[in-house]
Amino acid sequence: MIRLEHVSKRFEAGKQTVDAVKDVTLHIEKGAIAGIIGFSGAGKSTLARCVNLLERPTEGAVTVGGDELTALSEKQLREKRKKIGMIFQHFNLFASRTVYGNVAYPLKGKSKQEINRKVKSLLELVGLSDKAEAYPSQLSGGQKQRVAIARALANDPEVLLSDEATSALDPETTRSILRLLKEVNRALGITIVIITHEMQVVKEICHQVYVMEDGRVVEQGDVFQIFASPRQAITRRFVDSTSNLARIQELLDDPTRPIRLNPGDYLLRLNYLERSTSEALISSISRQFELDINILLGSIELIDGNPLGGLVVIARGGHDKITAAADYLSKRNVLVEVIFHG
Amino acid sequence: MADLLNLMIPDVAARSDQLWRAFWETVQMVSISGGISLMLGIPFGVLLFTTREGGILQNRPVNFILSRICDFFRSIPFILLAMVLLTLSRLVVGTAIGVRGAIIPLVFGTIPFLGRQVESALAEVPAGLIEAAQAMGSSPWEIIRRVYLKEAVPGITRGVTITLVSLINFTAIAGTLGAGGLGNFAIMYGHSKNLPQITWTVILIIVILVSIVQAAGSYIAKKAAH
Repeated sequence: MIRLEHVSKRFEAGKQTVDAVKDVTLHIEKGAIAGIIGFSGAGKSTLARCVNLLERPTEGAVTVGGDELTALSEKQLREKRKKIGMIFQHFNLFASRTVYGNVAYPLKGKSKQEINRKVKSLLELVGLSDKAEAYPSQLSGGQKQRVAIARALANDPEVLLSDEATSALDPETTRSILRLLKEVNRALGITIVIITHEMQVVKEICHQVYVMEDGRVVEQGDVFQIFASPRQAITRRFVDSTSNLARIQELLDDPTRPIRLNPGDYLLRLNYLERSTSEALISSISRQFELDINILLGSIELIDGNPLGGLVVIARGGHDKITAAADYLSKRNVLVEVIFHG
Repeated sequence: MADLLNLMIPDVAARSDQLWRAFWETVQMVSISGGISLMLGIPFGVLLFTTREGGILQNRPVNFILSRICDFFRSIPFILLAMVLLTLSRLVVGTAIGVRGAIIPLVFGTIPFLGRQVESALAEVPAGLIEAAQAMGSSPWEIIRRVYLKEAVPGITRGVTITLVSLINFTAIAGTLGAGGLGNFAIMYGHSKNLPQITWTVILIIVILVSIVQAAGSYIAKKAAH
């Protein structure tokens, strides 16, 4: 549905040049929810703006729904943009228009009845039928974003771009907006691109994820695969930012030393890569390799509908036995990582 | 009432017909030149703003020329501008005196002022709204009409109010150059014939006029802001 080929964007201001996006090639399939994650300044918002050509790439081609946007005339591009909805961090609602007026804005040119019918059904979809006559200043952040979503969907777009749409919202509201986006994706089949710096957002809603750093896509893949086995350091940081297991580092660093390791103890992190969370692996290695295993932290999460589990344990029983147990586990698709050994 | 005025301000009461005519001339000058200035000044301000660097109609040469024209007229004190433009008035409307003769100087003095006011009102419209409108496929013309001119109504109203107040001020100056109106009346009787009652009455009327314009402007601006 969305195809970027060798897209680069360079900003020039006087003598300074900034390469915000560097040679990005990606393909997002129809009906997918794709996340583009990166820290601020990584170029993700610029990349999103290259999808509807709010920023025209310096190099490369952008194709959405079979039309090469970079080859269209201004007028054709404007027509095409009606099929690419966009929502923003600061909502960007028209303060001088009511909720109804905002949602009706992109429907200019249609008949009155048609506009009325469309606006009503969109407000119903986002759960704000009772707020049609309110002005944006009378709404909460979450309600504003719902209006923005309704407005973005007015022309039945094929694609919805979400640029940090939940970054100004509290966690509870963020979840409800993400649920709404998921529902929009499911019910209307709209391809959604989510720009975010929060891995939690990716975890809750995305199918695919692209990790950006310094203008480049440094890692990409299915969201489960990225969470189960991140390859790049930055991806690891993002994954850890949402993982209960990553808290082990905090516990180790804590001056009150809540975790004490004896000589010969191994502190291990086990990541269950496949759907192996239902096997009693800990009991079996404990029996088979005569290990004492003390579980410190554990978690199971659903990533894109698949369970992803992990444990942090202290294993005692000697180097050889622990190595053998690690081999046994990795054959069963559990990634073993030694965090520390005493 | 008439007796009371006769008693209190006999100089004014004796010239009430002239005063009434002068008042009417001022109202005419303000509304005619104000109307023309609005029709031309708002588009002028829109062009000043949208042709800026990064604007939706970004155009460096056009912006440069418009800005210079604007600054040129704004830097000339109105009394001098009016003196110079009275020649032009004679050519265009056939007279340099009276209400008709005053229109051209007033319009030239007002449009650049209003243009800058409109420009700064548009600058207050958040850039994100323009981006959102572009993302929805709006053309530059649609963005001007449906976003800028709608979102900036409170700011433009404030700008128009300030402009009308200074226009009232300009008419008084134009009055001294033969345009008629309250300014002329005050100069002819209050100043030249040394009748302070006349001067003070004119001041009072102008203060009331300005207050009405200001109150109406503030009301509309407040009403338009949500």
